[in-house]
Amino acid sequence: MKKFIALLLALVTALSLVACGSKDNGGSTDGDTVKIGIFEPTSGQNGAGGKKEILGIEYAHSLKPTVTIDGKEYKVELVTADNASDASKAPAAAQTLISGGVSVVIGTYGSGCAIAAGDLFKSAKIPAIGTSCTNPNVTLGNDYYFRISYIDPFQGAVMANFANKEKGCVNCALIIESGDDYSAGFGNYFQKEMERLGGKATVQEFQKGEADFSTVMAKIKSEGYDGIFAPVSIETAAMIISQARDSGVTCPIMAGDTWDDISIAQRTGDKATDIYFSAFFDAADESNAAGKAFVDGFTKWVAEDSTRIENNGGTAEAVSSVTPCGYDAYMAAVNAIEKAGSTDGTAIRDALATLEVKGLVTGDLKFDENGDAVKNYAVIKTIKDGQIVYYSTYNG
Amino acid sequence: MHDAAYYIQLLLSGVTVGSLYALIAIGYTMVYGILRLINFAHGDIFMMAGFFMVYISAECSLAVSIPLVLLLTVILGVAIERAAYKPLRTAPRMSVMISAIGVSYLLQNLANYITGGIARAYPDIPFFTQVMNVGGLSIKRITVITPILTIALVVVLVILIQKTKIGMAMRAVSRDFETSQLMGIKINSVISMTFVIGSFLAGVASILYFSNYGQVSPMIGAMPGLKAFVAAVFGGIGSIPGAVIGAFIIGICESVIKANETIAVFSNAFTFALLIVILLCKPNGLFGEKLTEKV
Repeated sequence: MKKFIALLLALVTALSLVACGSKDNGGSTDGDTVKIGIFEPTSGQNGAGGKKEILGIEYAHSLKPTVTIDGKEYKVELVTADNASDASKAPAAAQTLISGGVSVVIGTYGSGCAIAAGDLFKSAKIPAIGTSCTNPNVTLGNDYYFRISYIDPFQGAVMANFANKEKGCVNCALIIESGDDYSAGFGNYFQKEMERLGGKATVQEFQKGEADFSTVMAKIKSEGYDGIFAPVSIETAAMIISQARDSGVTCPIMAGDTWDDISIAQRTGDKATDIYFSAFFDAADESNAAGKAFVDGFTKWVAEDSTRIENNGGTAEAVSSVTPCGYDAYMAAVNAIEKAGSTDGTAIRDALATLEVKGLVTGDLKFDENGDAVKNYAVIKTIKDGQIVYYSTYNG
Repeated sequence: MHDAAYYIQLLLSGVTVGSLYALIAIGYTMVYGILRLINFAHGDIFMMAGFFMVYISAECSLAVSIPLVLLLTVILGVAIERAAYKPLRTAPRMSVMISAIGVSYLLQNLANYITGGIARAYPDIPFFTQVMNVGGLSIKRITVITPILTIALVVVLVILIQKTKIGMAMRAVSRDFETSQLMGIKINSVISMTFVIGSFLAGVASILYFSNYGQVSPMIGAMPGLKAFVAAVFGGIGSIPGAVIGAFIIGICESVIKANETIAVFSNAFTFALLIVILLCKPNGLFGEKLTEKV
């Protein structure tokens, strides 16, 4: 009897899984829908950032929920897969989207995951539009990967110039997560530019999941570095900031696009002093009409729903600069589908390669031969009174 | 090149991290001593205690939430034993171990589901996190409190095991499970008591650990759990002083390794290489009792 019940239970579980699975196994256009895949982390070290990008995509979807192909209107369906901020889990998430029959993929936050999944999208001939994955290798040698954000050689140079010229840093400590493509790549570009400017940047590596930076901080204090550059994940950022200030390290702490997340300011409280990082977008910039319209619409849209507020970091007011990247990527995707006049991956890819969209939130969009958006504008932000605020603009 | 303050800071970090490993390691070593079971879910009990604090402190004051968190952690630990290990008491040891791994994944994924998978800020306990400046050193009060509290708890625990009746029963059970049962020792209450103590210490460790690092995430229990396990094996699994000393040694070694940029990335590798070396050279650990083969 016991065995029979166990067998029955196992069967029920298996069958329910099959039932769930078969729902997603359609073609690209089931009747009158087109599927767009969201390849983002909703858990793990960058989960907070991934959720903010998804909000941008969902907001864009709410404004433009349909595409027109050959005079016929198709509904756009968003399919989400969580890559868990982990390069080893990213391929499985990518595979879920591919077998789910998506026409185009948007994402991701974190270059490691994008690189890990890039070849899968390429061989499945499904174009992917990177949001805030800034490592050049995401799009290099991959015809099917495009990108909305600027890239690390640019961002590294911006931050090194900022550190050296504005903050007077000549001897920086470079805190890098070992084995992370984003951290190592971005750090490397920063270091090169710093050395070109006549300064120095000494690498201090740590391992994924590390929580204790007190020894590193003791070393930084004792060896007298005048700046810290830490291109690391959101979770690690908060620990580095608070442990630095607790150990009496007072020099400026600098980083890149990942730090534009309100949760870092929330977790570090009054310890977040002298923090600077580059970002894609400034929500308070009045000169950017598209940006202003986006911020107004987006904050209202977030305030409507408590889940959205939670995913946005517990507030409807803050707009992270990764959110517009998600928004712009969605707009690029639907524009490309309409331009291609097809839901076929290769046709959309060809459409993306020559796509030009004016007046998006992060500026006019056009991809170069590598598939990277042509961008030469970065904002530098800082944390003040628990809020992320604008500090300066870089126009290259 | 470095001043004395640097070396003191290094040592202090090491001792603090070591104390936290020690508190977790005691849970491993006691359960192993009695059940011959490596409780893989122990690191996740530590993580769950962190989340209990996050959610409870949102509603209650710290004076209420700290005891409540410890109580809930103890209940969780005992409940896991009752639900996942007790029914397998007569099953082969491997089955219980697999059950423990199952519980570990269950807790991680449960936490992932409830929290949405992202780290939560741990409530600030001002008494712990205040920074003191002593002669060029700036240290958080918690770095000093942690080792002192750990040593005090270990002393209490050793007295409990050596002097009280339940302690005597524990020692008897760890010697010989069946015989002590025949002698009238209530085996289930002894085992429950072991889980009460282990979970309580994991709860204390979680408060100290997360106040120090400021955030809890669903997967955070895995690494400290594994390191504590290595500490328990290093010190001789089943021996409480061994676990504590093993944990201190690992904590200090890691701290020294992490301060040297050329070998910093090997800090975890060192800990696990140590596990292999100790298993090859001295399988019973530093203080482990030599098992006499019964024929």
